Amino acid sequence: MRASHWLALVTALVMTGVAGVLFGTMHLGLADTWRALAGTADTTTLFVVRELRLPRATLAALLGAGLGLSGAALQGVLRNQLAEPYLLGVSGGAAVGAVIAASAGIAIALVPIAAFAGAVIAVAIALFVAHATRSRGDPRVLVMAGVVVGAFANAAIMVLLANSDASTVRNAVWWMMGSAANATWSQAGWLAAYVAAGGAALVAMARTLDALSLGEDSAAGLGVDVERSARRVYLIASLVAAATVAAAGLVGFVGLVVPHIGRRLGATGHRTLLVASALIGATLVIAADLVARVALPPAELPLGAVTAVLGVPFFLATLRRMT
Amino acid sequence: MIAYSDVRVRYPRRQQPALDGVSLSVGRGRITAVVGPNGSGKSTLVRAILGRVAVEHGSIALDGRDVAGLSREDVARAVAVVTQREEPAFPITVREYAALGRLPHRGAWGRDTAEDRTAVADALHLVELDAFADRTVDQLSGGEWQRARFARALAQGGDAFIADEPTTFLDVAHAMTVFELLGGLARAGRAVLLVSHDLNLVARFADHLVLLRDGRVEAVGAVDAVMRADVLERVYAWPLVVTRDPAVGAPALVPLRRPSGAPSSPTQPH
Repeated sequence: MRASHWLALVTALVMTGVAGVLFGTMHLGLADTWRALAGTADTTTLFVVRELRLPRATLAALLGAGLGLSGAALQGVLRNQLAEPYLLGVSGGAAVGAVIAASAGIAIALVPIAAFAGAVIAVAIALFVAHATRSRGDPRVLVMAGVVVGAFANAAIMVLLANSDASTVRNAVWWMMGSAANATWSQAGWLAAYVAAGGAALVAMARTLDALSLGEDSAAGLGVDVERSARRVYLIASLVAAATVAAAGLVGFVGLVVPHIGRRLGATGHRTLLVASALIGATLVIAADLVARVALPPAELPLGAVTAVLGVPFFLATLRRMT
Repeated sequence: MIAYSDVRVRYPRRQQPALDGVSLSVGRGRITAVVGPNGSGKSTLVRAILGRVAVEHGSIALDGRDVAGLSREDVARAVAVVTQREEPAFPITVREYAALGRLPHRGAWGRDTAEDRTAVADALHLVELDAFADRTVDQLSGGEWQRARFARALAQGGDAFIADEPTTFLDVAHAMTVFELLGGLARAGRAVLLVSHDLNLVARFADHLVLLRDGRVEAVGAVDAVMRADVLERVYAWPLVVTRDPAVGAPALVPLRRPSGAPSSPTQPH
């Protein structure tokens, strides 16, 4: 990727981030926002900027970065351009884990661990089902398996919520459609930890991912322990995706779209692709969250619905190109 | 350098072993070619050294050390392999692709060393792809892609070089280029193991032939000893003659047309 592309990506991220802070049900000027950041604005503006908009934009950026990283890694290891955490059922599995953990009342920072357990179980089932059909070569089978696992996860959540009161169900439904509405600084903080650690671990494996995306025999010829490395990538990508689910619910298709945009911009090789995917994902989800907030005022759209509107046509176009 | 001794390999859920009691050695400074019909176990030999299939019995050794006791990276540092087929799932530049050959030589966070960059540049130069280094591999023709794969394996280094069906889908000029390259590697002292269907080219370039059938070694030895009409006719189950290549005098196989009215399936050897 050329330097001008990197510059464009960073600029787009910064500008989207600024727009995410300025716009909303209450539009702010640049001057107001600046005063709020400096701490000299009136208390309402101060609160809106510092405690609502900024943490929300930060959370959205982290969601996008995490989903982009996770999608790029899963596509590489599976050699499958349709792979992404939502379509593979990873997010669905994470949601089940998170719902169980949340209803058991464990510490909020540990919910990602439970989500991670659910995600790993889901990815294991999807891979097993795809493997059992002996058609691992066909990328569509794995996606079908993942979609079915995701549907099962949704059903499982509904069963878990059957005895809950109406407000819990309403919150859960909102969360299953993805939302950054309840963003707090502490939430953004622990998501940042998961995304940074996972992203660093994936970038460290970038060359291995390059080798794996050549195929198993070729990777083995380059000294890669194929099964172990692939397992490690699944685990890290699932952990990052699970952390985003624990923070904001199911936000689909970001992991699908983002690596494609990265490759279109000339990202070759996974080191470049992973970093570019993090930047593009962050930009995309801040923008999607902005759309969710301002599209139909005073109502707020679920974030997952906005990304799905973007992602579904993209998915269909990719599917069509593959067949 | 590479020694297979009494190797038996069986794929999961298969009764018949893919390789059974196979012993062969690949020495430095020469081309050892493995030939045989489809499904005779040629590629399984390659997959076994890569650890992609479990060796059920016997052993494969690199300079006397059993590969079972070596790490994948140790094996990759000693043996460079050009596998039969390879399609990168995503675009990558020719230079980045060739640089993957350096993967077993460094740790995860390792940056390119001067040695890595020299090895990659030399490899691209040797296959005459210098001018293509910044293109992505999906822009290459079949012949260029095969050369890029050789560059990757050359950048990998090591004392042994394995090529599995390197000339499938290549025209005469590209096939000859590949064989000349392998000949050059052998002359430079590498141990070259070549799996090929192209018996006539193999007969001209190889120093040592191993003929496989149904996972067993059917004949082994110098080219003249293995390229015999009676042996090949039995193994390939097809009428043929072995003549002499008019240019260099190497044995050359000519399969015969079946007389009209004969059954269309290959004759069953008995």
